[in-house]
Amino acid sequence: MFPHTLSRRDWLRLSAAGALAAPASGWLETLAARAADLEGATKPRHKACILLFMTGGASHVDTFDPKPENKTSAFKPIPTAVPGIEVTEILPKMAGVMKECALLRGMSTSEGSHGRARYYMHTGYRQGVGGVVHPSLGAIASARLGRSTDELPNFVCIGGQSFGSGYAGPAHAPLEVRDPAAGVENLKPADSLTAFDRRAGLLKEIERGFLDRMNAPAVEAHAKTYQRAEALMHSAKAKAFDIAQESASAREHYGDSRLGKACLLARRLVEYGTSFVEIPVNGWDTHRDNTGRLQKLCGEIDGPMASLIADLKQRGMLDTTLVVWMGDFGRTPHVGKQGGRDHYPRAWTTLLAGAGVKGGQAIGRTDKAGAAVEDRKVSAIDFMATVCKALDIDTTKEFRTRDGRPMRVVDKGEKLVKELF
Amino acid sequence: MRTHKRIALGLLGLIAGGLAVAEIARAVESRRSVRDPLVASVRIDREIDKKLAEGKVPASVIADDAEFLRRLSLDLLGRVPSYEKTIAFLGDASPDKRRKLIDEFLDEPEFGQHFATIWYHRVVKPTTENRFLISKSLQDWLAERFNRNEGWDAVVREILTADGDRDKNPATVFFLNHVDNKRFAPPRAAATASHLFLGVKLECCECHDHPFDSELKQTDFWGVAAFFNSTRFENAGKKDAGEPAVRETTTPARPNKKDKEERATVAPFGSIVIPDSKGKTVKATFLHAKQPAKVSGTKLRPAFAEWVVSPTNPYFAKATVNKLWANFFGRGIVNPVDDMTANSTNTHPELLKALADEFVASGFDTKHFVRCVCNSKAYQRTSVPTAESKADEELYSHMKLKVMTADMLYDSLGTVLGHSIADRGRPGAMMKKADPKIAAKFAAKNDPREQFRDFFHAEADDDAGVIDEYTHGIPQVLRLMNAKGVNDTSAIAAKAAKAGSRDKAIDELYLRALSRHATTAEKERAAKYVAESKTPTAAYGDLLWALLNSAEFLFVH
Repeated sequence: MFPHTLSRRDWLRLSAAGALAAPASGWLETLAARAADLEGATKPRHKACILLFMTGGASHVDTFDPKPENKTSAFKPIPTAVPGIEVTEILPKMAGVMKECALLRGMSTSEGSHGRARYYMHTGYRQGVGGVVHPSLGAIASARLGRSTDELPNFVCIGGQSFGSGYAGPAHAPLEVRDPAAGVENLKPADSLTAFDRRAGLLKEIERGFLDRMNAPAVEAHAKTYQRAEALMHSAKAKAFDIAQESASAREHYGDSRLGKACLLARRLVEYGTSFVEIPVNGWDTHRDNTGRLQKLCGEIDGPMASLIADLKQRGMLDTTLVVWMGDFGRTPHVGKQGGRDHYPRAWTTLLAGAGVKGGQAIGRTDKAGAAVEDRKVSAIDFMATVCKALDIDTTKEFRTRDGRPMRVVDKGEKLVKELF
Repeated sequence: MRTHKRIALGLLGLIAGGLAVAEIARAVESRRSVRDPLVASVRIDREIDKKLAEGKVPASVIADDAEFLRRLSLDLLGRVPSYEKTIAFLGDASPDKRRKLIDEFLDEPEFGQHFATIWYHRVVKPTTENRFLISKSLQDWLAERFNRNEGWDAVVREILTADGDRDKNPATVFFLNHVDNKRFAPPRAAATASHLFLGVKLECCECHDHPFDSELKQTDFWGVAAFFNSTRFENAGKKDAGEPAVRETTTPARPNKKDKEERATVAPFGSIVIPDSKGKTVKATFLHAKQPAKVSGTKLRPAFAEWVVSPTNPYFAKATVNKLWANFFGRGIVNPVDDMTANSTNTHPELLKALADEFVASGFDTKHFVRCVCNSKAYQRTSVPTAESKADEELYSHMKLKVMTADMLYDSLGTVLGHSIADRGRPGAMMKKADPKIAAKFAAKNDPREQFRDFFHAEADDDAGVIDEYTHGIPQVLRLMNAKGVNDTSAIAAKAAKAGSRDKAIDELYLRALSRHATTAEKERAAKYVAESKTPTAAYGDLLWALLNSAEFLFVH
């Protein structure tokens, strides 16, 4: 189709020509948004995604794929809200919301080093192949779901770094919020908003001459990005970043921990229209002291994540919001000399909840030790395609690289996890 | 005496690297023969003007001194000119001051540093996997060579044949950068070498024949990769092992015993097995050669390096001048710059050939090439288009706008504000660990320039060294507008306040930020702002803030 053969440069040109309400982003979305406005508010809002990424790779046998016969795990299985599905005892709250969740216990991904695995799980492509940088899931969601007319960024990453936007273009790069309690960096001027407005007015006037002289799309794009940033500074929606606006009971529900705050902020952002929020959680590379570390880490994620799912459900947002729990890979079913588990991409587990995904099921099965997938193997590509399907992103639609090569959202050969839909 | 010894040793090293004595002599000799850059500049203009006439596109006028000075400073030194330099150059009445300025900038150490920055980022893509292997020492190594104007052929030869410990030979970083599961990745290095030095993007042929270029086959890719297949890493497995090193060996790679697929990929010396191909083996073959290369001895890379940098190599000189050209003009004569295959567009084939010939004849002399380009009218035209040339993108009727790279922006803000930007550090948990080596790595990560680069850099910069589209998003703009460390204009505002009059102060700020005088209208507008402000100094601070956030500052024009 015609619009998708446009390069980013063309977008910029269109944007400069006034065909766009905002620069460097999809005008298609703008048109779609306008069409949606005309049709009234009967249609559901586009889908959104909150990704909790366990950086380092979480042990599956110690979390969502308990193996009573594998004596290396110190954690007992416990029943969940769904008869027949068990998780380990260090995830009691997640056990309570299992009706909303689907477990994919047949993950098998084949990248065993952190950087490459993380890249693979974020983009669905192997790092370096083809000499291009692929967009991460958040950038894909921003490009395909986000509305460029929105003052809020469409891809926000809380408390860590994600992967960037690659050939989807810098407009879809993540806005990083380092501290969930502090919100967006540099959103407030060094002095006051009044003083800022005064000098920003001066800026607009003094650069007009240059803009007119050069008459170039890149220069117009610069001016428009400044306008968007200023709009965000003034926007009532900027309060989406301020969790202090939440009621005391809501804050209590999520807990006072950093991760609790991050989950609350993620929910707020999605509520205000952000398409994709990623929350990296560090520390899962448990080569040493697996038991002690897992106990602590699961203690950190269990409450906030269960609260997030319950809260989304209660607000009626879970139907359109996908919550994803995943990491680099799983961990070895055996414990090494240092009391830890090593990298293990052959068999592991991910969790999906919401956005129409049928919850209360565990799909796929590993053997008694948790060492090999016996049923319903899911590759990284299958997983990406499944997540995209849940978000209503067409995986066959192509992006263009900077030198014009067409690239599918998800590489060919994908098999959807159909049981989820 | 000592110098002679060193040269002799260097020559011996080169000979050991496989270069014939006669060729060294010829290269040195041709470097000595003085070639007049202005002759080549005229040739450039002849070719450019011919195409403009054919296209009936009028050329813009030559840029004024201020525009030229700022552009040249950004292109050669990677930053805006200092206030003092601006005053001196604008006040200089000598007719050949532009030619002299080009020579002067080429003698600045910052020239080598700037070009090294461009090439370092083209070569090295930091990833989590290579972070303990790569090292900035390659950047200093390159800067030294650019500054002493080593022939580009010699530099590339040194890189492609780099062997040994990283701390002794920073050129090994080229290879250490290409790591896959803690081992050297020959296909990755082959892909980089071919697009960087030959302008051929072979990556497309890794898994299949080239989709657009019927001449490029999958075997071409693996034929080049085979030259790298006898290269190994040492001490690359662990972050706290010894200094990483790169070595060539005739012993076949030791496969990971646990991995069945990997066991099937062991190839004899001088060849490589295409993965997932049921053992299809390809011998080391130069690009487009019908027969595998004749390899004697115990090393493959020297043979490949000699083929690459040979004056008769059909790709090397063209690829290099095309990349250099793009640094100045914002686009290559052939585009995309790193993919000069048959289907790429070549807007000025005769010019490309002439430039490549000049580059070879000069002994691959980078500074000479810069002189040829910067003394041309094509380079010195204003970036303001005429009504008829607005749409022109490839005939060089006016200078193309480029966006400052993150490095340029960092150094330019530093030049104007008179301090390095104290961006916020981000000490990670790793810093608390006692291991000084790791701490050093993370200290490097907390280096203000590195942080700035992380935040502002654009992918286009890493590939081509040129950004021709606006790439900042809202986070970058917010930081430029509101971060205290970035936009503290108070010190310079205080200086300007002592200029003697309001007009002089305003003019000084324009000179400092935009390297030009303020126009009458601009002075009037700013004066009004100052009059309405609480104090003149605060107003000057605001004015400088506005100038530094303006498009005119951010763009190279």
